[in-house]
Amino acid sequence: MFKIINWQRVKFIGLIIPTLIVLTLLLAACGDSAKSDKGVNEYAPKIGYLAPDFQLKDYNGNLIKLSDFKGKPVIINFWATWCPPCRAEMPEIEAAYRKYKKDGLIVLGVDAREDEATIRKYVEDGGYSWQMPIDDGETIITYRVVAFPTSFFVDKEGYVRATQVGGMDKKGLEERLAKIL
Amino acid sequence: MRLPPDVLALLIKIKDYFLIFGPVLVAAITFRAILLASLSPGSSAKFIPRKWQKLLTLYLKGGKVLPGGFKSLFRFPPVAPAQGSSSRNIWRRASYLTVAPTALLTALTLSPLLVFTQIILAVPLSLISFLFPDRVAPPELEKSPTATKTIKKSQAKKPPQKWLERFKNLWIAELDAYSWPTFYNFLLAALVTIFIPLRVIESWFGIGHWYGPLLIPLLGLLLLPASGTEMALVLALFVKWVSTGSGVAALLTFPLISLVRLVHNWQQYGLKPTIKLFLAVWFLAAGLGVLLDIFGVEANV
Repeated sequence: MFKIINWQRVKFIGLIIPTLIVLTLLLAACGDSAKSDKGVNEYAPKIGYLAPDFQLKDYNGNLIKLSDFKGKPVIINFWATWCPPCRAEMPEIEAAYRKYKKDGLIVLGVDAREDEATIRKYVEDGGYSWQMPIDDGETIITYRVVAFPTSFFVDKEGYVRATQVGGMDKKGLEERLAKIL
Repeated sequence: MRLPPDVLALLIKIKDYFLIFGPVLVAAITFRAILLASLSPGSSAKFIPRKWQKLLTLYLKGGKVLPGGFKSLFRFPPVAPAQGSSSRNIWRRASYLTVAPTALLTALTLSPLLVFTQIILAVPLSLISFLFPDRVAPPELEKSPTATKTIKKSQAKKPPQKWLERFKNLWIAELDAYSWPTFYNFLLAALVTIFIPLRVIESWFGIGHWYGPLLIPLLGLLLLPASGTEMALVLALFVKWVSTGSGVAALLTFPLISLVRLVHNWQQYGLKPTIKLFLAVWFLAAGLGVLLDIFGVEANV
């Protein structure tokens, strides 16, 4: 039975297979880094893609357009006053906003279709100082938001570099901010 | 029944604090239990405190005084006469409390730079301890018949033989002693984070308010003593944008001069050493805080 086995062939296969695996892994790694460095020039709420643009009004009636902040790192935070994790993470976002405001950080707290008075009261009571546009329902669909809070971290070129579904603590926020600052 | 979002946010924040501080606190409890089980096998009996029942009564039942007077509410397990309660110990203990395990938590959750401020406070406190004679004070606690009974009980009880058994007992006792103060301190920190607006904290302890470092130790009076858990309130205050000086003053004073710890010190070491320690810690911490604010040092938390 042993005579039937071609040991030279076995050695050849044994050499070829690991080489192919290593080459595949190298190519995959290169491909991934190319994607993460440059990003995909398509609009989608996904990491590595351009953040879809939106134009909304805040509770003071001011028009806020995402593309106006090109060249600055932006956090897009979808929230609502009735959402407990949103309330829990807002003090951390405020602290981060104040800390990195000098680095040009912009925070857009997109509220989920609530009335202006409710938002104004909550924001003014809490002393939150970032911009709070009110969504008309379209932006949440565009960004495929399924739970609150959901955050998108957009870099200076407009690419989404990190996302978070659910609340963040200080550490989680800092880790994601490091990717866009 | 649906809870209001603020209450749920409060619970979420408490959970966050447990996730941030929990691993280090459990490690500290385990380390302490290993150390005690290895070094002092006979001392295990005195590490079974039941103060949480009295504290629970005080904080949840509107401060209903238990039989034995107000002081009995804060009655701590008595110190064994062999361990001593000399004046030197109050300073020595304070210097240890300043650096561990709070130092590790400071480095992990706030800023490694702030650990230096803790060392700056710990050094003079341990130096002050050498000014006092290292003698055992007359056992004041023996005046109380219950205290004497407890000491006699602890002396009479035979220590467990196996190391693992001693470790288990100590670990459970440590956890028992930590659990309520930890939850209470985290609740206090969560209340500050969720309910107190940033502008309120900033207007008292923010940048440019020189009196911030002097007043901030008063907030720490509300805390319960559980080494390391006070850091949650310090973190909450930093999130609310206190100045570096006020933050440092809070960091240094909270573990040392809470109301319960002061009463504890008063019972163990007497009134005078407690007042001296309180004033020294307040003066050193607030002074350092004011200096940091004057020079515009940023902790970068």
